[in-house]
Amino acid sequence: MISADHLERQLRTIIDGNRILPPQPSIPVKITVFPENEQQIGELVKWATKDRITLLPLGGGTYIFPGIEDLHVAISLTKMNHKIEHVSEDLIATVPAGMTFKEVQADLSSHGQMIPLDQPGKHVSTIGGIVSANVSGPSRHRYGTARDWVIETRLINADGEAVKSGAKVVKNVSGYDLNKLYIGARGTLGILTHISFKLAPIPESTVTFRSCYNSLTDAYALTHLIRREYLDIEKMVIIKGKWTPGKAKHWWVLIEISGSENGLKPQIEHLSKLHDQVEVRRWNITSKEDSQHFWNVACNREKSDDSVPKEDIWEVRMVLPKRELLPFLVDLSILGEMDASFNILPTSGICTIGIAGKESTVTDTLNSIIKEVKVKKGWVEFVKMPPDSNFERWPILPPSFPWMQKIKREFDPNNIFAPGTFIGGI
Amino acid sequence: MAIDSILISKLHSLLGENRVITHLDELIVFECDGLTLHKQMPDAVVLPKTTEEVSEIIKLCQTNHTPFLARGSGTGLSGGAIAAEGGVIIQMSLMNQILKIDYEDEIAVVQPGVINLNLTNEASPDGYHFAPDPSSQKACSIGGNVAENAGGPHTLKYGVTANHVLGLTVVMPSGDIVELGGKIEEFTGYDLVGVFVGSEGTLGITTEITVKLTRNPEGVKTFLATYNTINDASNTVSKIIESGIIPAAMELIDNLIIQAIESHLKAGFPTKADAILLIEIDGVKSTLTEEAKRIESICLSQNAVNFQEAETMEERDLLWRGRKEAIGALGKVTPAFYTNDGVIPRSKLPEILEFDLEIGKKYGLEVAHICHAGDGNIHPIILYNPDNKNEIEHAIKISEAILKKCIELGGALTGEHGIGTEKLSSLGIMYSDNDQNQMLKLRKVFNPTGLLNPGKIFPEGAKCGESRINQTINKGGWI
Repeated sequence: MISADHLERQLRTIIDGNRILPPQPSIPVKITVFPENEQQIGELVKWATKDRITLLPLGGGTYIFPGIEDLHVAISLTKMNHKIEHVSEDLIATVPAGMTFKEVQADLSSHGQMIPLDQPGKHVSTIGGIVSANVSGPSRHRYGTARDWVIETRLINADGEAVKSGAKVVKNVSGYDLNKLYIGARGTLGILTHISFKLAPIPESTVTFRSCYNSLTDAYALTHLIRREYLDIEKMVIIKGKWTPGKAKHWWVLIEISGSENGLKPQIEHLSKLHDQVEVRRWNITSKEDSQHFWNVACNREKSDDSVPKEDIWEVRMVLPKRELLPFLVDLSILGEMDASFNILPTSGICTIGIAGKESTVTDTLNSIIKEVKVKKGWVEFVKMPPDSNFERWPILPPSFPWMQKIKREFDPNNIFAPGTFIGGI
Repeated sequence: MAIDSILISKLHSLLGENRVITHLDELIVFECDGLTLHKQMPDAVVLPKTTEEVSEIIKLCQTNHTPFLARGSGTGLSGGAIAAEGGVIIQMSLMNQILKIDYEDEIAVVQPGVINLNLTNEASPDGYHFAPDPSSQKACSIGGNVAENAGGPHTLKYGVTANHVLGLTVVMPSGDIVELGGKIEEFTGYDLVGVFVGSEGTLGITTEITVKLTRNPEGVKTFLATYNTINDASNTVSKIIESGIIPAAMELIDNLIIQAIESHLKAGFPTKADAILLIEIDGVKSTLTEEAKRIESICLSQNAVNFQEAETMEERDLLWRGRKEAIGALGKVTPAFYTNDGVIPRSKLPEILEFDLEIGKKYGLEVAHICHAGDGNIHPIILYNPDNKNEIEHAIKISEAILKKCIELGGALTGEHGIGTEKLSSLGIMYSDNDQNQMLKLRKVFNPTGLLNPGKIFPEGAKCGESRINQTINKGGWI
């Protein structure tokens, strides 16, 4: 058993004492360090390898879950140099992994550009964390995910060396694209220090439509209709419960369309007509202030005023073939229950369900979700669960899982990077 | 290397004699791909029809310590589909079925030998297409597109092959058959589909591919902007991107290529222009008119002497036919040419084009340009006489200098053709030994014996404890 005191003494030989702090309460480590450059991270990794210390790359902590076995040292990049290298005429930016998404977007927006990913949860989410967890939200309808926008990474590998993959250009097939491997790897293959992105222009203007339905099937009817029309849709989500911007018992659809002032007008008319064609309780075009609030609630950035479950214990994210998602959800017995919340990306086949309840009362429901999703060749992740739950966080292992284990062994032979925190105990 | 007669006999037993090629006069077709400078004969070519047959072939090759690789249509331009160390080519052309098209899920499941354009032709009556559109799309296979992470003119807006592949059935170099990804938008765990796409057939052999289908846009507008200097044309590219417009495609073609195209099919390109930009925008119709005006204004501000829109679909098709057949048309103006593929940040386009012309002059050879300019992906084409050894050497020197310059400008060695055998020796100018070693870890996981497609991507094999893979191609073979 290695004590925090022992770790601190060792760490002081590598890093200044004022960059070593006790961990935040929710982070399962003994101590946190804040290196100031890649060289220090490299030294930390070499030390960890030698002394069999486990490291947890840490961003804002948004996607670090309680319940994993305690690790030794969290390495936070939040106090490294925060200089963005932005070439606006190339629509490319290189960003330190420890910068918050909010800071980066604020900087890029002054040039009318953005990283077109959704910021999850609180404003502390870092770029490195978002890429490592491959977070996505309602914008993926148009923009896809991090794998569509990351063009270069720098990572400290298990040898403590800084390695580059990719280049700061929008098209590149030189060598293996290891960026794809690091995206979504949850820090289990190394410590990302810098990430370069293709950028997207911020649309000249956007408009959000909010509509409200009695049933999921009615809400889906609108999104089905829209898929067959021509509209510049930026974001789309179906929500219920804690993710709704209003009455939590109804199903809501939020849609944002974009364009120039003139180009938007006919689209607004078109989308308005589509709303009139479905069984909608009511719909409206929201004000700019409301729109911001609604999307923040839908993306977990703010709590809804009318949130029904005060403390959801379970959040289950699932991905299914697009055609399977609606019938699957309609068959779910919890659909009608008041305390279940839903966040659905209908054009991606992705749904997150929030449920409140003790494990004994929800086990059957959760097991039936896992069983059905497995049959349909989808997958499930428990985004939130009680720390002492018996459920596996990723209960469905893909057929290629043995190859993932081999990759982990090859890229992290001493198992120092966030061991046991990823799928199947990787 | 001489192939083991027992292996040939076992391949005959597995596939029948008709699907095993060993005669020299038939093998010669497989001695090179689109990169004719690099040639190496395989010892045998086999034509499987099923995933299981591929698996059995691989197991036989492994047992006999014989190199093997998959090949699609052989249209690649970096030597990726040649048997660099001899051995067996697994030719995928008999696995050419579109297995499923599902418009509700917006996916298609295809075998690797399906021709790229055939999938789009199949889906287009229902309003969909397969977005990656390399210029060879009439001939190249989707399996090849996956191996090389193929691009094309419209990747500017729609992305490269990696952005359109959801799942793969792969026969590993061990012979194991594994499903990677699936028929859904996202998978858990490491993104193995992501790293397999573009791995140049060195990690496994793909036998089934699930791709995304892309909905055809409501409206399309295609423009031809004419310039008296190539510098003005290349400056326009950055200005358009910086303005926040991402066209569907933005191609730059210089005078030499224009001349070749016009002598080939009269596509309507102005033969006196120093360069033209072929620009296409697509999307919701109501947004296009305004965008078109903005593009026209930027082109004129950058000294375009003419800006015209293709008025009919026939005109548009002819312009694109001219673009896509440009390389073939070059055969009318030169006995041989060497097509290069480099990438630079878009704003460095004027600088690299000027450099290319200068370096061409230095070595006494002409360099023509056809570029996916919006992506910063350049294709300098070096014209040379294949009977003149001096010119061959100069063509190679020019190519190396251009690539080096691309890296100096912050770019990459290849945007869509791959490293193959062509750029083995250049990989080190882009990636350090540590960078390459990190990549080689991946190869070691999937291809530990190194028998799958050896002599590709990495200059030498003696890294990460791997056995050294000899590069058998030498300059004497570059004709």
